[in-house]
Amino acid sequence: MTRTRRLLVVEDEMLIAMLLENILQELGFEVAATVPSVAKALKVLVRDDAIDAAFLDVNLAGIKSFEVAEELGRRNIPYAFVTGYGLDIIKPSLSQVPVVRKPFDETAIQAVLIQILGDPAV
Amino acid sequence: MEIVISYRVLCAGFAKSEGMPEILTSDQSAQMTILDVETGWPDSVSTEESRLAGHDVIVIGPDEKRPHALADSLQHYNPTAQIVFFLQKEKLERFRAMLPYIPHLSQAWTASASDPPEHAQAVVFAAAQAARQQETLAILRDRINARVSLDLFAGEAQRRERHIRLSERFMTTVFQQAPDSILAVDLNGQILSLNDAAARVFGTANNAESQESIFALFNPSARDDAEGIFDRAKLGETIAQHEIPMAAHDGSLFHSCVSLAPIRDESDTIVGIAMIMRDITERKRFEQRREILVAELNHRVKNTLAVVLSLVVQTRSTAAAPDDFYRALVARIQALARAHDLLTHHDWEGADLEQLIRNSVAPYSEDCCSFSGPKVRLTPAAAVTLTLVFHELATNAAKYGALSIPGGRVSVTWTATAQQIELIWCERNGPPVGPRMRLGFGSRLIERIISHELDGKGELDFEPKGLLCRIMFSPAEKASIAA
Repeated sequence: MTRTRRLLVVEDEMLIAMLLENILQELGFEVAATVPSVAKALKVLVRDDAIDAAFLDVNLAGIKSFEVAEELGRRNIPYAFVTGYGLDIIKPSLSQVPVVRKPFDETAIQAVLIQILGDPAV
Repeated sequence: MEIVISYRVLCAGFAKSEGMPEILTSDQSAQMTILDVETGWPDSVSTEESRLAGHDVIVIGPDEKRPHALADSLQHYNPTAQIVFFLQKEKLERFRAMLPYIPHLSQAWTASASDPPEHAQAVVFAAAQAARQQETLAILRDRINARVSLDLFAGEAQRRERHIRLSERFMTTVFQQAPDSILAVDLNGQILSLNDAAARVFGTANNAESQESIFALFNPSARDDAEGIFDRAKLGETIAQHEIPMAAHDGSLFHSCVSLAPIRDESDTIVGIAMIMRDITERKRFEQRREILVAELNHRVKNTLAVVLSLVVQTRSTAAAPDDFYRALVARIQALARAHDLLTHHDWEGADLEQLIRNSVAPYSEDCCSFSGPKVRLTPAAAVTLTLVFHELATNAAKYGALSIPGGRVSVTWTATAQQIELIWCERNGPPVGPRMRLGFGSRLIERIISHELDGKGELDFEPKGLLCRIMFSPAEKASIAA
């Protein structure tokens, strides 16, 4: 049996982070950490080398999360953006990254997880 | 036709004694006033006003740097005089091409310094004759007015002439005073004439010496676009409101909106292009700001809907019955709305901490609560977070805690330093504390949101004699203490 996959949630608003955690737990994932900022997300990545995927809110209290995205890219950790903005807020070099639009539900999260981690049923 | 026997000529803009004045001295019929280059400008010889007035012809020589302006000022003393520009051969062609586009000089004469002297003399003579003819016509008109009872006829002729003059003045005034830049260019793109607004933007003087190309005024990256629209205008098309970046004389680039129209001569041949340019930088900036605002608003709405969705899901997972779910959800959404009121308060000076806590317990029993602490003003972010926290504390106290029975007390105390704000919510005389809240959404929210959003700490202590909640966070950036 494969181990439970561990996910990182980067989202500055606690209530939205809690919703995402709920959905991920219901889908059978473990939330390794939930952090509100770029600095804290980078710290988690240094500390914890067993993260399987991440959800990144694009705008963290006015600061874009692209630095975290690039670090995830370097570590080959699959991830998706979460945003209430239009897609044009994402910088061109990261335009291939899957995006979950706010407000999201379980179906949207599940679809993007299949996209970045593959279908668990297969 | 009356033959001119003698005429008075005012000469200015000649540096050397040879040239036009000499040609005229050989003409016995010309009485000359010569202003030398240094003192040629009327303001420096204002004591000699009588010497400046009463001429039939004004001749502006090749050594004057601002021939238009000098002609203008001398014309002021000699309103009926004809103007002759006497120029070097190289400049003559361009100058002639330009004159029709300068309304008040469109009737001026030109002569070349390298032409045979008789030719130049003939031009001045013809100008003198034209001046005299105008004078004669004016005298004749006066006589007709005086003698002939057909006032109607004379009056009409006078009126028509006045109309033409007024219409010319009107065009000149509109051209010069227009807030938009107006330029006339020839078919090669050379600037022939420009108004004051254009001179201010591009720093180009309105004189014949400038050989500036219109294309030098555009942002280099827009050069092809500029040439394209001028080519279309040259073929007869009128270009309306074309947006294109331009470059001001100080090097700054700006957004402009240009309109082009071909200028045709009497045989309907296109001889030049008129360009009207409006600086639309402000409008562009406004449009960009509006786009950013719309994007920001869209984001806020989506984010808020995500928060509401989260409240729905979290409330559902802890509510015992549909009715509880409904009531708890509505109250939470209302608390969120209150928090947003704080965000959009018109003259935001920061939310008052005590007021914020009072608002949270107000729906229950404020009389059973005490509040004590220094005046603290919170930043919007801190205010929103704390509004949600105190809503959870207050509703919990009203349902299961000190505010659920008579005699229960809640005291909220806080201290504030530049480094830390510390709040204590303490419940006493309530029913014995059960484990119920421990598992609820409210307790999870309080324990997590302070650390997550305010980088501080939120602790709940379920003491048997009453709930104790401690909240600590740094006011740096998140809140500020009023002086």
